[in-house]
Amino acid sequence: MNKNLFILVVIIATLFGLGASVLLSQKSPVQLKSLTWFGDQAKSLPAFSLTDHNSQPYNNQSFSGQWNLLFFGYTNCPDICPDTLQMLNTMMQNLPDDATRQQIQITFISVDPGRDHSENLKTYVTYFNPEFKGVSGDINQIKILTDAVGILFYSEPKPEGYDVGHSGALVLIDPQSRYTGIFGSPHDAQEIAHDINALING
Amino acid sequence: MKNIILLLTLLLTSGVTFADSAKVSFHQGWIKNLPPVVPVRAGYIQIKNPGDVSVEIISMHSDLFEFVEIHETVMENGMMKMDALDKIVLPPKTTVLLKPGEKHIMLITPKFPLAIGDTVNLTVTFNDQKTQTIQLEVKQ
Repeated sequence: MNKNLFILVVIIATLFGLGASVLLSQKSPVQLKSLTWFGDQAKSLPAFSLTDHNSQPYNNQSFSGQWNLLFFGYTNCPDICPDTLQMLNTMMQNLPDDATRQQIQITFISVDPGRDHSENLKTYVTYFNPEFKGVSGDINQIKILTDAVGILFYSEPKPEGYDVGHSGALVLIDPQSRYTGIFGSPHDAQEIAHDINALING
Repeated sequence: MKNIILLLTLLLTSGVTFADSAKVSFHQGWIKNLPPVVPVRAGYIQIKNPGDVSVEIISMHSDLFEFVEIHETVMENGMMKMDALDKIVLPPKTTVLLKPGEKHIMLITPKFPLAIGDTVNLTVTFNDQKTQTIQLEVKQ
């Protein structure tokens, strides 16, 4: 009786273990700290056409070949946007080596095309890190991308300036140009570096 | 005459029901440096009100900026936005922190380029109509 019970417990435990490992392997390849990882649910992105800070085309092919972390904001945001870009610079320094750093592109996408353009974006993003990329373009093209990755924003001209609101989440696009995960705010540079390193180096 | 002045001074300084902004002190004020292409800056500071009465900051002014406002970064419908506030309330015996991601001093349109290490003077006006001049240092 005791023996049978023991065998039953072992079988159930084994099944649980197998089930958990299958679930985990589908959810993420490694233990993640703050990334919500979509695994098999990663989705390809629709065609869109924007411009980067070197006046080069930026579209859904621009993600290909490296990991991409996107932050949506605007340069006239003096509080949370510089804080996030500074955090991302710290995150890059927390990655183990240059080889890892070269496999992740940080991109700041302006949701305020009325005031942001290639010239000011270049000065702005490279102030935080020379490898960061700034992107802007037509508001409808920006909306194609933000809708696809679930980022909310609004940008409305007002008599005394602009009223802008934006999600603080960081969007992760994989080297196959698929929307594959999201880091919700508030952000922690070390946790994000841990997760990025885990994805790149296993 | 001297006694009247003394009496008036005593009356003015002993009134516990009046806001007394003279007790308010400011500490570790700083402005986040940004490249000159950005026409706005955010300033942060610790404000202590050791008094027994609530005090309000109703306006700020700097000769180095066109406008100085009080803003708060708030989360609304999943989005972060900045709301302009008409005052900062300093409750009695508390320290109010203006810090990144929360309430901050919004400095709009610098009249001169600012660099790390520069000091910006700010005149703060309280609801008792008194003012204090405080310093914020531009930092990384």
